[in-house]
Amino acid sequence: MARILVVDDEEVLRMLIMDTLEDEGHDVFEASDGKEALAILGNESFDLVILDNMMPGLTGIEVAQQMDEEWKKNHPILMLTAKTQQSDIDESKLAGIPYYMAKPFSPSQLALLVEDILDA
Amino acid sequence: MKKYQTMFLQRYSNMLMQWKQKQDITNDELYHFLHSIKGTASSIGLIKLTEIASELIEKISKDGQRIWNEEEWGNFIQPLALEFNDTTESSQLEEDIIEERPSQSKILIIDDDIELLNDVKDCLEENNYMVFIATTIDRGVQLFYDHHPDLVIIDYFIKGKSSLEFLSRIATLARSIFTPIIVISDEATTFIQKQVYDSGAHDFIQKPIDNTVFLSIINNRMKQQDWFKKRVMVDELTKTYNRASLYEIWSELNKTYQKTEIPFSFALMDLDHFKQVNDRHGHSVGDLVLTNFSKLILQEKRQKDYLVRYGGEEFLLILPKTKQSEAVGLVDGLLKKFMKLGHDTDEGQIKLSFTAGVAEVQKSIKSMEQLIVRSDLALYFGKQNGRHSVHGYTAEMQKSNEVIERDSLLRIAVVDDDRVIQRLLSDQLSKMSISNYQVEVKSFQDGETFLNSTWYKGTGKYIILLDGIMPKMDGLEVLSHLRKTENEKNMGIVMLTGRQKDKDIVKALELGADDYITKPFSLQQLQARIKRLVNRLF
Repeated sequence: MARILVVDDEEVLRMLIMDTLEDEGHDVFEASDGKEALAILGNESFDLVILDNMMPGLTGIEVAQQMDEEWKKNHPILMLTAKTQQSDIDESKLAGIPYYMAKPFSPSQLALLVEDILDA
Repeated sequence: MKKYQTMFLQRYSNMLMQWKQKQDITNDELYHFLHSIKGTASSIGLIKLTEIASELIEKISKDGQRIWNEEEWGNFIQPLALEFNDTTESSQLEEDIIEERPSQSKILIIDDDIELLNDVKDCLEENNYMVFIATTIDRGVQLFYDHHPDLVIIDYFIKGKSSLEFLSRIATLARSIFTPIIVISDEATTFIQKQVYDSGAHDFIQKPIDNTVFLSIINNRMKQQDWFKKRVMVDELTKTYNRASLYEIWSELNKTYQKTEIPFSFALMDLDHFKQVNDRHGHSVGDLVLTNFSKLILQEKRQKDYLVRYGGEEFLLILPKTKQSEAVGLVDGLLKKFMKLGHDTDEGQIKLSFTAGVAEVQKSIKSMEQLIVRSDLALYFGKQNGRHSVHGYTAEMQKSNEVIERDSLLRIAVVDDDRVIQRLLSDQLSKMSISNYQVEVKSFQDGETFLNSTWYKGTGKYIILLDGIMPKMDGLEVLSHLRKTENEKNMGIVMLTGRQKDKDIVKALELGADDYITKPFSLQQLQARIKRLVNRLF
């Protein structure tokens, strides 16, 4: 069981992700934008952060850039993005994001990837 | 999935309302709107919406400064709005049809021309018919006897042989239950047509078939069929309603109940020791008892109550706007009167009794069958406890009768070597709700493991989803093994096949698959198929 923070402005998708991961037995927390996510991350610790890239205000990459460097060395971030161009992937790697998943995805695809990430 | 879809559709219709109010929107708002739909819709089973949003988003620039007025954005997102409407409607419609109409009309198609089969099947299913398919005459005959379809469509030539053989095999039964038969054919010589009509077919249609005309012909025949059925709504012997009318009465009363919340009750009445009467005094006395019974009840019941002959010596009294406790009292009064009534036999007059079980409709009851099960449990309780009495349903009866519970277990197997599909299907299917069934899902890595398990040899009903291509033993082989097992009658088998594999489909149907679905499919599609199949087979 892991503590996971899901950051996505799209409410329906956020709920779908949360329900899927809760069914897998994880403790799941939510934030609806980057600012809220950073505030939560300042106070609590998580085993994995799932970040949507395109959000109003801060993008997922911007959120990752502002996250604690030490934390990022030991914990994974998973980016949800509709962009799969190499330049975007490079940009997210630079921001310290090792994993990404292209939207749209199926809930069980996500569950499998999260399992793999947590096992790694 | 349903939950997310409803939320999703609700959210976007709210968004559109807001846009309508402010009229002008920025390029950014439009871009984000499309982007969100593109990223979310297909994850929750609304694939078409993702496709449309993807196409639209290509047409606008991300960082544009353009302001869109209502007419502009309205026109631009029109394809999306149309799909929204369709999805909202069809998701409601699908529920209605599948949950509320067990008496959907059934059509059997027998043809080895897979393209035509597909085409006609899709067209009919879209029009809410329940479709059975067979590619051989033998399978067709079997389906005909098992399911009594309301209409049969058959190709004149199947595997190079004429289908007159089929017509002669089923003509008598078809006539007695008024089943129209439509023959389709490539050739239409006078000789063939005459042969076809002589052997009892009702319509002859030459290929190529125009679906719209074909559908009209079928609808016409179905209307006629309905008319016949309505005319025989009344049981000849007892002059009570027969079972065919039951569903209509139920839906009417249920509608009123939903509006007014005043419950109605079902009383299932079964004559005591009726078999002994028949054995000892002969069927004519048995018939007399039945007529006496129905005469008395028809005379004594309240005007608004309905009396239905439910089985041989089983009758259902339907009491509108009547609570269970009140209904028990009323039926008890009927029992007392019936017990005083004498029936003439060669050995003088005999007196008889009945046992009744009563249950009232409640919020938790979603189908007629559930209410009947409850009254049946109460009836069973009475039969176990000395007969000639009337009992109301209580929750304890449910507990003491777990056999019935176990009967309504629906086991679904996913036999597929693809781990992602396995996971996805078992996750989602186990959340599926099918009325009267408790769903249990299990997945198997390959056909051999599946066949070697004892899983499919238990009680309950089975739906088996078989992947066509698997290592070691392919789906077709598994299918032919399954059809040879004893439990075969309790299994619905669906083949999962790749696109354009017509040969595999034909082969699967010949081997006795009940349905097939081509990959990639949506979960919604699959769930709807499974529900249909359950309604159709069990």
